[in-house]
Amino acid sequence: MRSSIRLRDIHRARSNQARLRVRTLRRIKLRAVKALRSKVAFRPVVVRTWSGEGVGHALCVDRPTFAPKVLCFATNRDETLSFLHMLFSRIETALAAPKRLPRRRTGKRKDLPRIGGYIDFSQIQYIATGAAVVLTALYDRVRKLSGRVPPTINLHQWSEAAFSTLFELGFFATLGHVVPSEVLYTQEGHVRTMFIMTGENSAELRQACERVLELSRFIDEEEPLREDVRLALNSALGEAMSNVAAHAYDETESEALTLKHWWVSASADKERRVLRVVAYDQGASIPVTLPKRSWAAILRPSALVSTLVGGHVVPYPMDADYIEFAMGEGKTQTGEPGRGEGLPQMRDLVKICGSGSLTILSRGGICCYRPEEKIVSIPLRTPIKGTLLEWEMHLPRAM
Amino acid sequence: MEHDVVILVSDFSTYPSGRNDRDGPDNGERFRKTVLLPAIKAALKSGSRVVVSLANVMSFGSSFLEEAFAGLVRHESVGKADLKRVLHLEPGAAVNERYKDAILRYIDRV
Repeated sequence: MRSSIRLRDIHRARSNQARLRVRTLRRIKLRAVKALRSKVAFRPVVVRTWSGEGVGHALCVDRPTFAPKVLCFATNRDETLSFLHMLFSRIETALAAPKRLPRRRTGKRKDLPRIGGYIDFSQIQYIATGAAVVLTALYDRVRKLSGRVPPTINLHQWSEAAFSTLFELGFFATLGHVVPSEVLYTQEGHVRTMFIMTGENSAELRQACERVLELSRFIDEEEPLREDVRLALNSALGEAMSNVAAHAYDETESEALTLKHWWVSASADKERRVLRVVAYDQGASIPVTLPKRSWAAILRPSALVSTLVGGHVVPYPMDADYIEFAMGEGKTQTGEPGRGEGLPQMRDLVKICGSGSLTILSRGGICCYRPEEKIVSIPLRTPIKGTLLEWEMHLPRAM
Repeated sequence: MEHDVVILVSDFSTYPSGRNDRDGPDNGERFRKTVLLPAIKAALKSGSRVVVSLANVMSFGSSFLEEAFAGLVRHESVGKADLKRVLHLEPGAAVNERYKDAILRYIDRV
């Protein structure tokens, strides 16, 4: 009896050991395969480059980074912001210390210029206007700060969605790939898009306002923007543009990497009677330029201590509260009297319109205002460079 | 009593915007210094009124309005009561009423 128990135990122990050994071996094998994969050197590939003057070739020595399938702050916010953040970081690194990769000395492809990784646009299925404006502005940053037209890589492989959305927005004209034409709008079905505009202050306000007004005629030729809505829209745009030159920039930012510009675009959906206007700047953001005074009193106590939102660490947990606070009248952070009326005026545009929304993304927070509704404020898991304002106006019929 | 001085903001710009030259060319500081202030000073001396018409203006950015009108009190040492006495705002259209109210609010808030 005693010996049979022993034998049974020994058998069990042996089979357990065997199972354990198999599992361990499997684990080791998996790890080895993973390590091997990651260590396998990327074989340089020849890519096509285009910066407006004929197609060229370059040798790409690193893996491409794929842009997300959906670039949209409303439906795929985290992935979109994470991608744009990565892109911005790469741009900053490249601008701060331009890296020149040596040319190959031997081989068939010795004369080709070499590039590091690139962004692959082939898998994009959808780009929303807001994300497209930010993307264009990031590439425009390269052009403006480096003085060189950033080439497109493998343009022939870009998805139709990526190419058409960026083309309609004027991506290639803004970056200098093509000569800006007199065509200011493109149309796809019942949506007409205004070519992106960029400037340094409100000097181009008239031009921008007239273009948006013209765009709104697409929705209703006979009854374009109601006069009070038009005035409110022009005023809000003027505020967004002049803000760029004044207090939207961080004094601590390196002069060489400071780009005091705004980018504005708009689209009109004739079927839904929706006018969408987007304004973006790469400034210090609303939370940074807010004053260091009364806001503390209105913040949620939890926001002061918590950096975990939905199980995720957020870098700037209070930014959404700051933005919401700044939307209130006279809430300035400069400490100077008479400031802080800009954001409320931008918000009032939606109120005057009657329906629609104003969405603001600024550094680590997003706020969405809808008339007669509580403002929705959410901290972002990945921050955005600067401030993005997006008005969606459901146009009322003229009275 | 002298005749009223009439100022058309649209003569300065139909798209005024921003506080100072950094913000844009047609800014509030420039309007205040070149147009408003001389008229207000003259009106205070003569006892006339300054009628500012908002007609035909296509944008009323709060920065512009605040800097131009409230700036008279804050930067040019014009008394709030004096300013309200000589300054007469003409909306020019019903839709401009809200901006006339905003100007008065900005002056009161200084």
